[in-house]
Amino acid sequence: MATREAGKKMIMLKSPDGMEFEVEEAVAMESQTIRKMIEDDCADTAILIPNINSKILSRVIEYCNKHVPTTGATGAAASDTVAPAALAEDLKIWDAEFIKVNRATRFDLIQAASYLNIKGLLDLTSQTTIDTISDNSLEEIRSFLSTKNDYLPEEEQTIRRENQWAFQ
Amino acid sequence: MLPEELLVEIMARVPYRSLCRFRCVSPSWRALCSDPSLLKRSPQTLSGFFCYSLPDPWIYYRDTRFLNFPGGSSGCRPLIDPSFPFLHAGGYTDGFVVADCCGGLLLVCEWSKLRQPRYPLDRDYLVCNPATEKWTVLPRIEELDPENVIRLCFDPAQPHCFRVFVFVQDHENDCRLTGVKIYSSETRMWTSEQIGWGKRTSVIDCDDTASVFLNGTLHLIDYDSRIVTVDMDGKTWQKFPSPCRDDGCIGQSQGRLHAMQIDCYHDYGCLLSVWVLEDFARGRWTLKHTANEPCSGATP
Repeated sequence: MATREAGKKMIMLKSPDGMEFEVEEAVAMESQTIRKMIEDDCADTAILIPNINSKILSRVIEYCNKHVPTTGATGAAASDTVAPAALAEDLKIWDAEFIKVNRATRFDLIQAASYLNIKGLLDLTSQTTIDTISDNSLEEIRSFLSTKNDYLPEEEQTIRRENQWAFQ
Repeated sequence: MLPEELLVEIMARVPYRSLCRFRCVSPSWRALCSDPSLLKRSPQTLSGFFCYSLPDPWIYYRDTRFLNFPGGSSGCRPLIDPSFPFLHAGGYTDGFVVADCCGGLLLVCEWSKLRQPRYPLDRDYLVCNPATEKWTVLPRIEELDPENVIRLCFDPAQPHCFRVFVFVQDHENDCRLTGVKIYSSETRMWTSEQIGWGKRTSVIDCDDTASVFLNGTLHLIDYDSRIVTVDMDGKTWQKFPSPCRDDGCIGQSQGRLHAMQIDCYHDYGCLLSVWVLEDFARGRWTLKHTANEPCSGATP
């Protein structure tokens, strides 16, 4: 947990299962939803984040901590000494590690990113999901999405014929 | 399972080809992946472009090459062989030149350096899809000739129909358009229509100023630098000003019509201007970007 530093405003985020997370305001404001609450003065003491359990919320905070612009949050020194390109590359590698989670967690992260309106996290989780299923067979896609094939046999034949080119 | 609005959010990032695969998952996925608003957001699937070797000045003598588009969303797609070997199997042993392309389909014209056609009709025009390697031969008509302006119209969101427009030019008279022939892939027939832009209209037809097919409408530029448009059935004809002067060109990006012009000021470099058509109904353009460039070899 981040330690309180002089001049840095802290915000308390509460998950519905009762956990409290103290984060820097700048980190919390990576979420456009929370930013709006803070800017509208709806967040004096603590913000309750509905529908996002503590496990997912802590991962989201971890993501925001890493992605908050370096000046201010982790100190100006970091951005003075490291080239921006190297920082971006470092973030990419970090993201790739971060998103190595099971399907259920990833879907939870997508929902959290959407509710909290964190564009970077929504892009990352959505793109990873697409990359996972794009080149799979239909059966694999159905099982990944827990969707049943309720086409009638002749219906499926027709739709397969119409879209045959996409499988070649 | 994800709620529907989140599924849409995710599917909007999927390339068109994958959307077509997902349609086969189940009826509800078919509906989701056929939604026009989703198809509009689907990433561009451009995987490369055709170009011609220089310096042959006469377009029909150029060798066609295909360049993969680096970093495209479908970057792993194979190179297209511009000799179109799959057409050889259909008995077309000569080479081809690309006359137009639209939405992933190509309009190609049979052409060989070695075998000059004896008369204009002695060559076929084909519409082909290099991804599926399927093709259709257009029925021969007298007007289907490189002397005329030939354009292919195809919207991947409606994969079962395409049109080919042949604007007949009067070369004795300022290349004014005298009529249009329209081929429909549904009826497999050519139909004739009158030009609805006025009797004195001539359109620009060269590499640098490609036409644009967008939202079911074909856009071209006339000799007075105006945009002239016609719908797929040749029924609705419109004309409105473009922001460019003599040497502008048009293109499309993010589903909207763009116009571009490069002004060269000799010693001071070039100014590139890009406009976007914000309001199609009123023909209202907005200047989107300007950029200064050195003048070295830039042509509009």
